[in-house]
Formats: sequence, C-alpha cells, structure tokens
Amino acid sequence: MINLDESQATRAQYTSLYLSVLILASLCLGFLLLAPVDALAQLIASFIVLIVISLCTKEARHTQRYQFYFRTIALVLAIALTARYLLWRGIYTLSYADVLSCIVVWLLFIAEIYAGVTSVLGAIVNAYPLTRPLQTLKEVDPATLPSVDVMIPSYNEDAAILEVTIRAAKMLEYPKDKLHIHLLDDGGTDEKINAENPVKSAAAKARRHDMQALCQRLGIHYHTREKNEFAKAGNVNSAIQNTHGDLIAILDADHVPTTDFLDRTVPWMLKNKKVFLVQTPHFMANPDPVERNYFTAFSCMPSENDMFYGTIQKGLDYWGSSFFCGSAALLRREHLDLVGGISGESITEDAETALDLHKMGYESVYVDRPMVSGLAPETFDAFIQQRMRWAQGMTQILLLKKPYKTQGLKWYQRVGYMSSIMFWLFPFARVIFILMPLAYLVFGLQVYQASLLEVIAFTIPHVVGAYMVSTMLFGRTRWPLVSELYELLQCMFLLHALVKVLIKPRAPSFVVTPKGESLDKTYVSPLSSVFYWLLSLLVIAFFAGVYKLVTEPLLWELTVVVMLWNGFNLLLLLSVLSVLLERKQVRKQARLPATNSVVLHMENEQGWVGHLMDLSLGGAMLRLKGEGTTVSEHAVLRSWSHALNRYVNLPVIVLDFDKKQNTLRVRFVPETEEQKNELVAFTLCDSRRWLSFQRRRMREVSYWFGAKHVLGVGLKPVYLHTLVLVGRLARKSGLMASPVKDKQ
Amino acid sequence: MKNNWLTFFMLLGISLTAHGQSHVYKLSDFVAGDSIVRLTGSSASLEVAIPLSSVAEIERAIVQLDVTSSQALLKDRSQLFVRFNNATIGQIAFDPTRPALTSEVMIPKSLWRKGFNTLSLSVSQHYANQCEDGGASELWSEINLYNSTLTVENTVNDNRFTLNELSGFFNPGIGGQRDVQLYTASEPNPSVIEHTLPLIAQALALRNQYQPLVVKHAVFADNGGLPTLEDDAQDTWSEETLNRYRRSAWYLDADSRDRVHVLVGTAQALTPVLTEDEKKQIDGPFLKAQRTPAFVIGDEVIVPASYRLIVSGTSDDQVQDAATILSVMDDAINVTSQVKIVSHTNTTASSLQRNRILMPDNHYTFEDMGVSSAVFRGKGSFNKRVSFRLPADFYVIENASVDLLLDFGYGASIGPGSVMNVTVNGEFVHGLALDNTHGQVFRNYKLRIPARTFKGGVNIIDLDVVLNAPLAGVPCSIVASNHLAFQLNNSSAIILPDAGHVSVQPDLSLFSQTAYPFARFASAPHTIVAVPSHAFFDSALTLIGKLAQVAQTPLLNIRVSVGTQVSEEGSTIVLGTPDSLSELEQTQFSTAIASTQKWSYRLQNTLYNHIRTMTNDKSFRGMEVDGYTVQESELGEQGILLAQAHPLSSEKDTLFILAAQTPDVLNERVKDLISLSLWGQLAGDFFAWKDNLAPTLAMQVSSKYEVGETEDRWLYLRLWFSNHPWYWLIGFIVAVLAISTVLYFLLKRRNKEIQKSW
Repeated sequence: MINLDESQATRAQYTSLYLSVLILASLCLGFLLLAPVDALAQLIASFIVLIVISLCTKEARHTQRYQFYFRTIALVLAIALTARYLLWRGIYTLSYADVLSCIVVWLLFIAEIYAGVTSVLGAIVNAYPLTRPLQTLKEVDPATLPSVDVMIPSYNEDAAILEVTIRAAKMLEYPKDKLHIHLLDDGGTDEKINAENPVKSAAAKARRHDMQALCQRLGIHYHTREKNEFAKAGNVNSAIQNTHGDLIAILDADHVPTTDFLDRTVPWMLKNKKVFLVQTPHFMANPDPVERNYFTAFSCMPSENDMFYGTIQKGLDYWGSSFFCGSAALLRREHLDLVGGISGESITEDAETALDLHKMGYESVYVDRPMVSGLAPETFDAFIQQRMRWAQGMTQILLLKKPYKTQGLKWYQRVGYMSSIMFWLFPFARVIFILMPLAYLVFGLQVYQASLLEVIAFTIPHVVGAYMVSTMLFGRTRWPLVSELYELLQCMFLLHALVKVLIKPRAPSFVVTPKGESLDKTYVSPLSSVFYWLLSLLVIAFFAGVYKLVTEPLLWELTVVVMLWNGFNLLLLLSVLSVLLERKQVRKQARLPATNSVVLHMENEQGWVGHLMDLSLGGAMLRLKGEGTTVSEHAVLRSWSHALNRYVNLPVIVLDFDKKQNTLRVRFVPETEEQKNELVAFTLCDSRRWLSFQRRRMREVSYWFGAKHVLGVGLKPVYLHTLVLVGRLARKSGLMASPVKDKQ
Repeated sequence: MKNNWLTFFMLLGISLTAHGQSHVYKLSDFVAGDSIVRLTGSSASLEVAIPLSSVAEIERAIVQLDVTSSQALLKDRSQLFVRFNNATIGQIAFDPTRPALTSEVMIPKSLWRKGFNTLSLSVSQHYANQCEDGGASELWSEINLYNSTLTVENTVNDNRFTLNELSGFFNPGIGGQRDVQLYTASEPNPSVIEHTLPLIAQALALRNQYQPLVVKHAVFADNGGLPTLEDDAQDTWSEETLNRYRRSAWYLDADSRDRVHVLVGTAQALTPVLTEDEKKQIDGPFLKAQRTPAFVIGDEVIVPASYRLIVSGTSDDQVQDAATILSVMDDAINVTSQVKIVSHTNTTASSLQRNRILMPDNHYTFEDMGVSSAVFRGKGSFNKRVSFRLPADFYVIENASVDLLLDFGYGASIGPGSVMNVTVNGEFVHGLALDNTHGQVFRNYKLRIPARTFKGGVNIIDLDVVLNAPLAGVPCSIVASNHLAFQLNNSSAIILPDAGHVSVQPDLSLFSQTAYPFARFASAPHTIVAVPSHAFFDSALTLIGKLAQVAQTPLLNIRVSVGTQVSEEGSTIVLGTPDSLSELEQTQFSTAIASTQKWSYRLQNTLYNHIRTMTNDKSFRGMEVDGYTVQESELGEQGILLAQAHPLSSEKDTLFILAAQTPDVLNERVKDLISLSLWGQLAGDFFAWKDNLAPTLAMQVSSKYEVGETEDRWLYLRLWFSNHPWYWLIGFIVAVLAISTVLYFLLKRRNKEIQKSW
C-alpha cells in the first residue's frame, strides 16, 4: 500500500515536471511561431525544418527503438510549420480593398484554418496507434462464457445476401447454446404491411413471408416490429427488448462474419467489465466505384476504408475513443441498457451510441483484424448516398451532442471525436479551394496577398510538411492524392447535404445504402453534370489566367501561383471524370486472390492437384499441376478450410480450361445445406485470408510514385482523348494522311 | 605699352565692380541625369530650369551651346530654337557640312524672372521635304550640357533689406549666397556654441535648400581699434566720424559686400557692434535684418556697406529661441526688418521632424503633398514627378503595399504607342497603353505597389506619358497632334501602409539621404557633433547645415560639444585629426584613426569591395572583418568618414568619425563632402576622398546592427530575426525537441498503462 502511494506520488511528480517543461517549451515555441521574420530568412529556416521532417519520417517508418520518438518529432515539427503558416496568413496577408474581397479572403482563410485544425487533430489522434494482441477463447471454460445475440438488421436486402450472412453467423465458433442469431426485418413491419399503397403492402407481406421462411429454414429467430421508427437504431432497440443475450453482435445484412469473429472479440469483454464495445474493421470484398472505375487496382493498392480501419481507429483506440461503426461489432447489453439501447437522435446512430457510453466512462476496444466482409456500394450514386449519410450524421452529432464540450469525456476523447467529425466538413473547404482561383483569375479579387517568395517560404513548406507527415501516418493505408480525389468527388454533393443539416439539424432521415447492385452495362453517372460545370469553370479560369499573365505582367508572381493552384485542381478534376464512367461489371461477386491448395476430383475419379488463383462465392480460378490434364464438366473441389478446420468438398462446374496455362475457371454448384455452408465458410469465413489480402495491398509507396500513379491513371483517358482529337483535326486539315480503308 | 595693359586691367576691374559678380555655370548643373542629351525625331525639346534668387539683378547673361547634329539633316529646315521663358531668343540652323557647332545666345535682361526660369532647347529636324518618317533614326542632334555654359553677371537689387529677403540671399538659384559668417563676441557663452550657432547654420542652410552653404564662425573684438586713415587731415576721429564708423560693419574681417553676415549674441554681448538705439530694441528673442552703411572717408571706402542679420535677446535662452524661430519661419510673410518673438509652440525636435514627412498608415492626396495637377498637350514625351519623404527608418513588412490611386484622363483620337508608365524610385511598376480612341477618364485607378519599392527618405514617383498622334492611314499625310491631351489631377492619392521605425546601421548612404540617425521620425534623441577645439568649429557648423538640408528640417536635437570627451549617449559625429582622435576609444573598431591607424585593407577581408544597401541585404553573410593592418602614417590631403557602432553607448547608437590630417584640411574636405557631387556618393561605412568629384575609396567594414524605436519591439524583432535566421531556427528546433521529448515520454507511459490492462 505504501509502495503504491509512493509510486503514485513519483508518477504525479514526473507528470508535473513533464507538464512544466511542456508548457515552458510550448510558450517558447509559441513566441517563435509568432515572431516575425522576412521571407528569405523564413525560406532558409523552413527548408531546413523540412529536411529534418524528412529525416525523422524516414526513421519513423523503420521498426527501431526510437521509431515513435522520431514520429513525435516529425509531427510536432509539421504542426509547428502549419501553425507558423496560419499565423503568418492571419497577421500579414489578410488585406482587402472592398467588401467582396474581404469575404473571399476570409472564406479562404477559414478554409485554411479548417484544414490546419483537422490536420493537427489528425496528428494527435494518430500519434501512437495501438496494436492489440490477438485474444482467443480457447483457454476459457465454455460454461463461463456470456450468451451472445447476433443481430442482423435488414431493410430491403435480397434474401440471397441475407442467407450468406446468416449461414456464416451460424458457423461462428461459439457454444451453440449461448449463440442466438436474429434477423431484424424492417422491410416487413406492421406499418409496411398495413401501408395504404396496396403494392407496397403486398410487397411487405411477401417479404415478411420470405424472411420468416428463410429464418425457419436456417434455424434462426425472426424479428419485426410495429412501426419503422428510428430506422436501424429503432430496429435493433426493438430486438434488444425481446432478447436476453449478455452480448450483442451487430452485423449488417451484407456483412459476413468469419468463424473466429466471437473468438477474437469476446475475450476483450471478459477482460474488462467496463468495455462496452469491441469494434472490428469492415473488410470490403468488392471495389467501390472509384477503385473499380478509376484505378482498376483493387487488389494492389489500399482501399478507401483501409485508412480508417487500418490507421485511424487504432489511433482512436489508443486515446480510448474508437467508436462503433454500425456493424462488425460486439456490444454489452448491460451498458446499452444504460443509454436506452442504440441512440437514434442522428442518422449515424453508431458513433452517437459510442459517444453516449464514452461520456459515462465506459471503454471501447478496437481489434484490428478483418473478420467481417461486406459489400461496398457498387455505383457512384450509391457511394455518394452512403457518404451523405455519414457526413450528415456526424454533423448532427456535432450540432446536437457537441462532443467538444460534452461532460464526462476526457480531453483526448473530445479530440478523437472532433477529429472524426470535423473531417466530414471537408466539402466547405474543398469547394473553396476549387473555386477560389476563379475569384482572382476571372474576377480579379485579391485572394492571397503574398509575394512568390513568401509563398515559397511559408506556404510550400507548410504543404510539403503536411504531406510528409501524412505519408508517414497513412502511407501504408492511403496513397498520395487519393484523399484529394475522394474529397473532390464528394464535395459538391456533400456540401448540399451539410447545408441542409446546418439549417435543420434534425431533418435528415436514415437512407439505407443500396448494396449488391449489378452493373450490366457501361454508362455515365447521372451525377456527372456538376463536374462538367466545374471543369468548364476551371478551364475558363485557366484561360483567364493566361490572359492576365499577358495583360498584367506586373502581377505575374501572384498569377503564376494561382494558376498553378488552379492547374492542380484542373488536373484532379480531369482525372475524376473517369470515375463517373460506370463500367460494366462482369461478375456478381468480386473475385479476390486466393492461394489455397486444392484437389480437383473429376468425374472419371481422377484427381488433380493444384492451387487457387482467385475465389468468390460464385466460383474460382485455379491452376493445376502436372501435364496431360483431362477435365470433365462436373468435378468436386477439395480443399482445407481454415474456417471449419477440416476439408471441404465443393461440387463445381468447369466453365473454361486453358490447357496452355493449365488454368481453369469453375463455378460452385452446392447442392446440400452442408455444401452451401461449406462454400460460405470456405470462401468468406476465413479471417486469415482477408488479413493476407489486406496486407498484400497495404504497402507503402513514395510520394512521387503515388502521385505519378494517381495522375497517370487519371490523365490517361484525357491523354487518349487528346490524341484522338488532335489526330482528327490533323486529318481534317490535311496535315496527316487518312488511314486507307479496306474496301472489302 | 605697359601702361596700356595696366589701364586695360584697371578698366576691366572697374567694369566688373560696376557690373557686379560674374559667374559661369555649366548647363549640366541645372539638369539631373546624363550630361549629353540627344534630341530625336522631327521635333523634340529639352527644358532646363534655371533658378534665380529674388535679390539678384541680372546684368548680362549669355548661354553658350555645344551642339552636334546629324549629317542627314536638311539645311534650312532643320533648326535649333533657343527660348527663354517661352520667348525665342535664338535660332541656330543645322548645317550638315558642319555637324559640330558652338553658338552663343544672349538672354535679354528683361526676360529674367525671380524664381525658376525655363531655357527651352527645341529642335526641328528634317531629312526630306515630304514623305518624311518623323521617327527616322537619322533625325537627331546632341546637346552637350557639360560643355554648354551660362555666363551670368548679376548684382544685388537695391531693395530694402527686410527679413523676407533672407530667402533671396540664401537661395539655391543664381545670385544665392554660398557661404556665411556668424559673428559672436570673442568669448561666447557655451550655449551659443553648443546650440545657437548650429541652429543658425541650419536655418540659413535650409534656405539654400540643396545648395551647399559653408558656415564660418568669427568673433568681433570687444574693444575694436580704429583703422588708420590714409588722409592725415582726417586722422583725428571726430564724434560724428566715430558714430558713423560704429554704425558700419567695421568688424568684418573679409569683404562681405552684397552678402549677409550674422551677428549672434545677447544684447549685452553685442554691445561693441550695436548702437545704443539698436540695443534698446532688444528686449526679448529678437531677429533683425539690417543694411549697414558703408564707412567712407572722402573717396575711400573704409568699411563697405553690408547686410547683416541680428539674432539676439536679453539672455542666452532668448538668443536660442530667436535662432529656433529663424530656422522654422517662413520669410515671405515677414516683410519687415525686425521681429520680436513673444512665444512659440510645437517647435520641438520630434514634431518638426515629423512634419516634414508622410506618416505611415495614412492617406495623402497629391494636393496634400503640394503637387499640382498636370496637363500635357500635343505630341511628345512628358513627365510628372511626385516627390515625397518617408521616415528615414521606414521599415515595412515583406508583403505590405502602397496603394496609388490615380485620377487621370486623356483625350480622344490618341495614336498608337501612347502610354503612361509609372516608376517608383527608378523601378518600373506599371504601364498602361492609352489606346481608347474615344479618350478615357480614370478615377481611383489603383496601383498596388510593394512597399519595399519605397525607402526611407526621399521617394520619387515618376509618371511618364508619351502622346502620339493617330496614323493618317494615307502615305505622306501627317495628322496634327495639337488635339492630344493628358491630364493628371492632384486629387490622386497615395495610401501608405503601417510601418515601423527600424534601420540597419552603419549606413552612410542612409546618412546622406536622410541625415539618419540625427534625423528620425518617431523620436528625436539628443545627438552630438563633437569637436576637439574651436579650430574644427567651422567644419562642424557646415556639416550640421548640410544635415538640416538633407533632413529638410532643423534638427533641434543636435548640439556641438567642444572637447576631447565624447558623450556616452546619442549618435555622435566626432571631428578630429589623428592626434586628437587618439583619445577616443577605438579598440573595438575594425578601422580606427589615431596616431596609429588601423586599416581593414580590402584584400585582407572577404568584404573588400562590397558596399551593399544594408536594408536590402538579404545575403546574411557574415559582415565581420577578418583582418586589418596597424600602421603609422599620415592622412595627407584626404578626408575620412567612418561610421561604426558607438562603443560607449548603452543604446545602439552610431559613432561617426570625420578626420583629416589638420583642421584646415578637414575644413576643405568638409566643403568637398557637402558638395552636390560628392555627398550623393556617400556609401558603405568607410568613405575617403580628396576632392569633390569622387571618393578615393568607399567600403563596408563593420558589422551591421539594427537601430529601432523602442516602442515597436515587434518590428525590431522581425528585423533581428530576419538578419539572424539561425537563432530563430535553433530556438525553433530546441523548443520542438523539448516538446517532442516530453510528449514522447507521456505517450509511451500511456501506452504502457494500456498494455498493463491486457
């Protein structure tokens, strides 16, 4: 007891010392950041600081003893450079001649402050990402395990999608007497069945019937309710009142859990009774529209949500503020009851619930292992719809819950929530950054009162420093310029949605993101028109800039700076055009790489050994070993299933056989319930497979490689378009001979 | 024969006496810029402004022109017209067979006006009788202004000498006085030496504007003996003769005919030279312009008539007050011979300095600055110059800008190539094509000019306008150009940004342009000109007069200190010889002048040939001097001006050392230094010269340091950090490392605590 007191006293003493040094050093730094310095002196200092940041980030990326020390130095340096830049902007550059200029100048500065604040919050959140060890229930007496209700809320999803999820849930490694699966059907509520519209009413009745039949067939519980109040939150809360499990696992309709989901998450609930949430990543088994239409590099570059689940949630976990993401999570009923179930004030009920419980002092855990595979929205339209919900929901939390001053939250939890929420205000800043060059180039408004030398001394180091640190923090999970691309794609739509929330914070309603849509033809997204307008404006600005450069040579410094800025926007905008071209999707399910060894048993009882090349629920591609393979139309694929811990035998139909490569494509044709379960387990229930796939694409690239890749991919269609157009013009003008047409 | 020659010289002497003084001026003295002016095109003109003092009467004036013309010019049609105040006084025909010519033109006496007179040299140049290209390259002629002269004989007019005539005597124009003697009693009170005489030197130098004024101090004998008269019959001095003699300026030790000298002292001190009546008039601070009669005995002028200015009072303070008012008063409204000052306000050093400059963070119209509107008519190139002063230590942040709001317009039917160009201190900042054939009027035409284009001291905005006639569109047809018009209104304005008061020292260039650090803007700390003995006093007064001219305001904060002790506070100019300077603490100096000299020879240092404008010096290279040589030698005929950090001052002040081998040599070198030609060449912090043409050596040998107004420490800090970015960087890195280390420990500790819970 005495020792404990001494230890606490020593700790408090050290804390006081640390804080004293910190305050003193911060005051000195604050003074130096405020201290005025001419541009050339600042240029020298800034570039030396950039060199130091570069060296520190390099050291921070290597696993070594002082890795996190260098990481901290780099973060503080970059934050200091950003603060220096914003102070300089605020003190010296905000001059204007008229009211209009004043508005424009301040809009731009506010956008820059926003960007600065979010990058500082991001740096704090991601300073020390937490990597938790894997836990298992293998050593725990099954009798002591808590009971678990697995809830699968559904609104209008296909039965086929739900069946896969339910089958996977049923195969979870957990004592069967303590595992209860529930389908929460909001598509067949009494309200919908009694709808005035007879067509809708009939459809609801049919859905309830189908869902009840599905549940009966698969042996799970069916739930529905009277009214569709509070959307998904209301649906889950209704089910909570009718179930009794100690823990509640929530899975979206398309979120297929791996068999070890509970084995890896429940231990954290057992270790600490204050834990109300164990969240796991959402692993997307198919590319989103940007990945499919733009990069076509789904399997070799990080996915969009890899940054959030691979880095940010780990950072939030360190600060005890990882939050509920609506699915792929385990919650404690006891704690949920304290806040009346899932919160429903906003349309992002998940984050809101976590906030309510965090402020009561309960804790959350983030397990960084992909154990749920879901579907990303297939179309750009659906993608935007999903992001609008997130943006509106997070803004609702900001306005209604005010996490920055919520009682009960620790300061770092407030920082964590504010970081996550403020990110979604990016449309305001992004739109300002896109349109601001026009204000100067077209309308002649002074948007940025600085010389070229000052821009090089203050602005460039701030931007470069921020990029360096961003690469250090997110380099493995987000390639350079990808964030800009995603923001650009969403900003105009999200801006509209955010303005609506700001005007009426309680107005937005929950809209289910369409999943599992099929694209049977290539077409231009109906949301494209706004980008055409933007593109036209930026092209006008470009030519206005050229005109300004010629007619006002004295302003060349500022004009060049703004034109470069406009050029960057133009380049990004040109490259996003290819995203808007929705490409035809050949397969219903995206095939992901696989390497399992397999034996293919032919009808003639021959067996051929080989390995998988890719795999999906529908089929697979495999390469056989040996020569002289003869392939029959029907076969049985035998392979070891890590999920089930035994061999599975899956009937297949051979679609195509390439004798030269010795590869063949097969389609799974499970016949029995057991085979269907085995197929789901083999294809979707092995977390090691998702982990390996994730690691394969989460690799770090240099800034220049990433930027080159993004711009290269984006500019290729533009380049091709230009080539074609120039060729056509040249032929018309006779400069180039027309290709000789083959008359036959 | 010998007698004939003697007679001739006697007649010449009489003639000169009768016709006053004769002066020869080079025309280049009246024109800034290149001394050879080339006039091109079918018609062109050069205007030379010739100032004339208001007290001068021109007896005779001849302009001699040295002209070279193109051999392609057509005889009879190509001519040079010489006009004086718009009256044609000569027409010189260009002869292709005699391309070089020298011609003399008499300027009629009646055409001269007080103030500025305009000598116009216009050419009409043609190479063909028709179908001529007015801009053809062979249409040219050159006027060599350096070789062209203006010979003037002038006298002083016979007007009553009143105080308003002072500006006529001390005038930059022809007939103006270039030296003056200040007379005091033989042992004047120290305050007269320290304050009053420097003030009077400044007051008179300011009237001379830019023309140098050599100031001498002399004393009158307390009991002046009577001169010996040649005429034995008059040998005995009657009462009447004695009174006449006492009323004259008998104490003058040089011929001061037609020139003003100054009597300085209390009424009591001036007793030997004033009559009782005159003394009675002095019952307060007193100024009097007086014409003293000649003392003539028979035909002999024993004491010539003269003009004298009395600066007096009943006490030394009153004399100083009178001198102060003399330095600030507008002569024009004092059409009287004497004034007694009852009281005066707002005559502090700082307020006077502030009144001469444009204040930062303010808006001024051209009208406020005394600039008139300009109208340009017809074809040709025109210029409107706007000159104004900014504080010497004008220091602005990097991206500050000055807004110039121009109100101007031009008439219809303007031709191609018509432009308005704007330059600031010779740096091109804006150009506008005047290309609207219907004419155009602009109000508040805004030019945002980087404030760093402006500097402390005098700034010049030039608006150069070229008006061309429209093209006729028909060969050999020329459109008349008399309809062309351009107008610049004096409602145009300038908006100055907020600025600090920081300067980088030592900088002789800034010293020469603004008199900094003796003239400042925000404050006027005491400054000193230290002389080791009275022998250096003339040099000190002359130099102080020059500083006032440069500052364009009397520097009430400057005083003269006699003795070898140098004050420990305030910027100081120490005058001396190597011997007298031996007592000055110079051990810290990289260059020192004493009985042994310490020279930083150019090849001993990396800075050997670099003189940089210190305020724009962004190189941050070390300014330390690496090596020097200590030697024993004499300065010879040269003068040396050094500027270094004051070694004794607790504040950052500058110590100037002005040295020559002897007091006399120093006096001569000071005269050279204040000349128009040499003063403008001051640069660096080490300046040596032997004549008034060019320095023998100008270098930068000292470490630079900043001088700023204490109340604006923020701007001072900016300058300091800008010049020492490494300190900023080191502080920044150290602070970041400290913060990072603490954060790292805190983060690591939290991580350990989390891991414990696993």
